[in-house]
Amino acid sequence: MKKDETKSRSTNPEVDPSSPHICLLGNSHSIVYREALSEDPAPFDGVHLDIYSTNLKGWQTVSFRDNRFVAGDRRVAQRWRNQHPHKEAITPEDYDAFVLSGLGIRYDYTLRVLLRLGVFPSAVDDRLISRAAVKAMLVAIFKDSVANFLVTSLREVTDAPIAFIFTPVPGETLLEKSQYEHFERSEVARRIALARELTEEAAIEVLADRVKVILPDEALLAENGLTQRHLLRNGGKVQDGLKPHEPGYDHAHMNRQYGRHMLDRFAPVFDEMIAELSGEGRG
Amino acid sequence: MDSPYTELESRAFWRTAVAGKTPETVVDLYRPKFPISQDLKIATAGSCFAQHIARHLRRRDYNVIDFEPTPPHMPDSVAGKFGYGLFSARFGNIYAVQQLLQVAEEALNENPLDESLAVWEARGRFFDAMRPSVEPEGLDSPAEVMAHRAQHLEAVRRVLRSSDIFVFTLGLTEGWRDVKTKTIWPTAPGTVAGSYDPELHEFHNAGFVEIFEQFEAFRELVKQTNPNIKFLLTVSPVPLTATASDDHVLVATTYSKSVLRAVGGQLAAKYDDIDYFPSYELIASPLSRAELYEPNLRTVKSDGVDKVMGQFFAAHGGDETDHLSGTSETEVKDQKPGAYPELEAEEAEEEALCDDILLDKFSPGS
Repeated sequence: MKKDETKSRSTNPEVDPSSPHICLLGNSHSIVYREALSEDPAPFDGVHLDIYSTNLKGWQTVSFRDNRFVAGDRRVAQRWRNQHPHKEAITPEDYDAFVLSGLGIRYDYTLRVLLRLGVFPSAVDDRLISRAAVKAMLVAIFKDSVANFLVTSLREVTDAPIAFIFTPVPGETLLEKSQYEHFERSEVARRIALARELTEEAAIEVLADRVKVILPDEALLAENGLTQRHLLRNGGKVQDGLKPHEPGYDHAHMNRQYGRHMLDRFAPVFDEMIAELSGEGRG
Repeated sequence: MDSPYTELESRAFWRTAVAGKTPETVVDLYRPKFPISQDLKIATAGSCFAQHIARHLRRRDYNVIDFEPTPPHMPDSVAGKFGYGLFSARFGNIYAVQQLLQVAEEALNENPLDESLAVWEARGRFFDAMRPSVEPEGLDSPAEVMAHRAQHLEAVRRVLRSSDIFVFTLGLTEGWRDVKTKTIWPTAPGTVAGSYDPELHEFHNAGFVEIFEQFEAFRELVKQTNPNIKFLLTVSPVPLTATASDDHVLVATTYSKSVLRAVGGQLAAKYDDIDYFPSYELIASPLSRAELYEPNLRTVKSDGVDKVMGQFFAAHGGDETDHLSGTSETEVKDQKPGAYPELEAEEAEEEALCDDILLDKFSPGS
């Protein structure tokens, strides 16, 4: 466990300086965790937590040089400098464990793929693509993801525990009107269940030998397999006259209630990570 | 003294045409019988070497049709493993002319093979016995295989009906077939899937007349629906991985390639709409001094394919150098951009995907 006094200050300055330093790397979805943690720091109470976030486009500018993650976009570097812990680059050796969230491992890729391909006998355009081919495609896409880039780079320099929390399953509404209408017509739950299976299998194939993977909780999902409307960032309310399938309606991002639920789900895994560090549990 | 050789061109004499030459410097090796231009719809099929031809044609902006195209979002590295983007339909490798004739009859006569011949099982998964490599993990059920097969045959039908030029690489004379119906498969039962049963399956090494007549039958069938189609034949320079003929594998290879080369030559001599391109001679003859093979003396080097296709494009009035600023295919691979190049090495592989290499696992010591 690191005890270097030069390390960044934690979000929780009351924490014992000798406590583990945890690094959370996330994209736009990580805001739900920031918000949930602002009310209740669990499960990160008792540790130092630094959060580095930017959107996926920002992460795609990041390179790993001299054992540090360096942003190629000055706006990303500026954002990191302005926010706690006020560092432009991420130095893995400063941390005892890592939590990654989102970062290109996304269910909506699969939903898009399934829609465009019209997979399996109920194909949209009668084109048959095997399940194995779709999964292999997703594995290739996820191998190119920011998440895999970060994990691969981290594993070059550290054996520290890494956890990966999946991007949420999208909300009740989908990406575009045409897709929304299609899902309205077809076997919504079956297709979405298939998308979930394929996404999770592919991500686990890419990441699970190196990280602990935390999947979305089924308790958060509606009957059709998408995230329940009251957990969406906009609370499922119609905003500015928008209907759920219209552009601008945020179906992808969740709210702090979702964040708290997932953090509680993550807590036992985090306890294992901490136990791995210290050889004993926290409690 | 007059001799019939007196007036012949220098290309007719080994000393002036071949001695001291290389596959790059040899000239006038191939005189196309008909032009192949970028506005023609070109279809490709055949052995694994044909994959190289298709790729090079595409890179030169030739109109290589594909009626079972790579699905949207699918990276090339995945597509190739599932048989996408290699030929003009998801044929898999077609090594024998009989197999080409079979699939054409299935497609154009709308007479698909029976499930008992078309589906093989392995470890609870089901494979299309006529193209087992296109689904390396197999499918869930025989019904799913037949549904995929029906889709494939529709694509084959469209390919044969609409192409202006059909490029076919002759691969092997040896094959395994059903004892009762004589239906031939591209791989031996038990290699990728299925199980060998000497009561049901038999080895067959086709001869000249048989293969010649099979291609004639294929040509006639296709021309009934596409009368203006032309054919370009090549012979794969890739030797046999293994032989079941009881001959030494080198002797068996020489037999196989000799028969196929003779068939290609005879077909081109007989029909105005069939041409032969000497890719085999460029790679497998003394001209190349075996330098275009990898150390295993079987796999053709990437730059060997570049040189062959350079001759092809030069003969068809194109620039001999590569379309992409004169770089070779190998160099282009190395230039592939990407945010995370260290993760893309696997994807950069562009080797042809051959089923028959699977026979290697049965060799002693494997």
